[in-house]
Amino acid sequence: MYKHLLNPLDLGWTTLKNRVLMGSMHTNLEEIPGGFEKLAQFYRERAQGQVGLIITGGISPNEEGCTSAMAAKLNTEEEIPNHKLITEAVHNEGGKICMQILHTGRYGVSSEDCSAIAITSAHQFF
Amino acid sequence: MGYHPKIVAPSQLQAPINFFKPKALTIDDIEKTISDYVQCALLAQKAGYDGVEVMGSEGYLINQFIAKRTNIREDEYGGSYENRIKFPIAIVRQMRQAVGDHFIIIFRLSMLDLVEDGSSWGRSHCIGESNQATGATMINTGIGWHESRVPTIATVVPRRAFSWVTKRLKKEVNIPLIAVNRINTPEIAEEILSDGCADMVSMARPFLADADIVIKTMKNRSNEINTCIACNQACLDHTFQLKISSCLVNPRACHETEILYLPAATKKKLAVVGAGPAGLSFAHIAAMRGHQVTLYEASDRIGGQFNMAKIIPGKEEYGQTIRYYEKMMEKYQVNVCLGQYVDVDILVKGDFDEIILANGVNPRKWDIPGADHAKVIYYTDLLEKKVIAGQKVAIIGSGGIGFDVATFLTHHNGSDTDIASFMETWGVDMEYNHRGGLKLAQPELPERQVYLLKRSTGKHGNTLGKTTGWIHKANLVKKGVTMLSDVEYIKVDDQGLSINVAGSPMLLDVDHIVVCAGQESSRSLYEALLSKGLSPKLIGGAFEAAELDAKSAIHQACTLAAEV
Repeated sequence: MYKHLLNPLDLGWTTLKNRVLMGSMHTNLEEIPGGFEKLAQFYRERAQGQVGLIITGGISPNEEGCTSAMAAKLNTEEEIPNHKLITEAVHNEGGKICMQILHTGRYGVSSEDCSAIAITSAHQFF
Repeated sequence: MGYHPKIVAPSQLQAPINFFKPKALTIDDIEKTISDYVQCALLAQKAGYDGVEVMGSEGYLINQFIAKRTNIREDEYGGSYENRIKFPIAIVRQMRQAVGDHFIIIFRLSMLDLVEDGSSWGRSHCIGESNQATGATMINTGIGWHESRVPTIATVVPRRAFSWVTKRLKKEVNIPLIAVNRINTPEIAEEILSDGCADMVSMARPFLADADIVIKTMKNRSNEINTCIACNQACLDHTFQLKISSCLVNPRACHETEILYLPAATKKKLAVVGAGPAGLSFAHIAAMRGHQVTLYEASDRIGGQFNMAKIIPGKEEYGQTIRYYEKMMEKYQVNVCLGQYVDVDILVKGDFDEIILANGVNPRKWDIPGADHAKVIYYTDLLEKKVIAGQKVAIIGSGGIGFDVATFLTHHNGSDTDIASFMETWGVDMEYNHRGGLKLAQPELPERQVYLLKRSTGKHGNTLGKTTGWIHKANLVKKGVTMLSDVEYIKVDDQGLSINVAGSPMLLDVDHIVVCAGQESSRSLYEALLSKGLSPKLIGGAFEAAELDAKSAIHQACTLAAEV
């Protein structure tokens, strides 16, 4: 009945177990203390549910591209251990996960104004 | 705060949804930014990710380079289309060189900008081909910018409304494509794939509602999926308010380490009164944990207020939640007693360990001269189809229910799930003859003349959801609904409804007046039980009726069920 959906996708050097992608969503856990531990459990349960590939919420490649002054970015080695919590949790369940790289450009903010921060970070839900 | 970033963009043009003007990037800045993308991908690889998705849609930086709307540069990164796509092409090419062949690179391509001066179709397809050539593994679909005024993901958007866009690119490129937006069931997903629209489907919010969509599908248990109703109330609306995301129908989402549904240490005999969203949520979690649950419902069906919500055009998905609960009642063997009006005796004789009252709300009575006139009805009369409204209708109260009733009254068929008519209503050009995929909107004429009234001053719709309120309001404007504020209600008689608007008298010669003026908790049973020395627990609308709020009702029910 779901022969297309449950059919693996061969990418040549690796295979996705089915055709379902969990799309990128920013949860706001990315920015709170202990948030990556919680994210790891969030993604672990989705990997247990056999989704073919997960995409994380948007992570900025530099300071300028952040959704807000405190938003998550990945441009130093120091930030790697947090992300390893997620990738190990997903891989332990036999899942696969990609990280979304998001630079907001003119949708970013340069002050502490919360409403403007929210406008830009609110839209990772597609 | 550790640092104060300056926002940057291809050109110094401020976004209509931002308070700040960006600084235009110099050539050096652009080269630095490209290498930041590459470096970020390398760090992601080191962190163990299987790949990255390069966000090139929704009006973010890469999209800002591609579209004329936001790129008025005169150097090698602006001007011609070939120049405007240099930035993303350089990112993907250099990234592929750096990470090697065995690393997924998904490019999220804006295939339908839905803004003026957005890309035309030929352009989207060119950049798709370029990505294929420069090393992207797959292309994901982006629909609309954040500043576009077409709904793209809310419940009002029909299922798979935009899969035709991805299908268009499917003919042009050979790498796998991913379809997105309003794909919320395995049946719809299968349909998209078998129609040849895409090679994969993306579901985001549906994985908040249910982590096990795929495994349930594999085991032919798709009727057990807790389906995303695209309400945005606990996901997008939370993110917008800088709260942790969650899900209206699944409060555990993003709270997996805090809300745990573990087997009950002591099995209890529980009574639940009221089979609305709160009672059903409590009953199914408690029963799943091993408790013996009896659920009493006075009417002949489960679902409560969701039975009314699901007949509002654009809210059809609420019916899915009722289907889920029906299945859960069966699966966890909840003893459901329909048509059972419960009194104190039944609960006392039942010898229950705990009594949970989820018996909801009653509409608040309207008290003005003539409130008992035949023209005056309550929203429940209308939505339970006890009364069919006339051609001219006034709605009292402009909260969520008032808006829903106005939507219900102005639509023709009572259903709004047709993709082509959605695109006409919101001005989306399915032929893609215009830039950005926009054309003149041609909404259907309204079914009735409707007045939406409220006592307070100020704009209508301010109390609605942060990310969906504008859609509901735009919808009513398209339907010619007259919205009046600062209204004083004087009387109802055969002539109609007499009001003062900002102090000036006005007569609305309406056929019906629909009262949506709030509701009150049903508390009589609660008080009767207290007087017998019992200590029932209140959840949902019976606990707090100030706003009919399914999100807090379900959250309260699930957290109580986790602990009982």
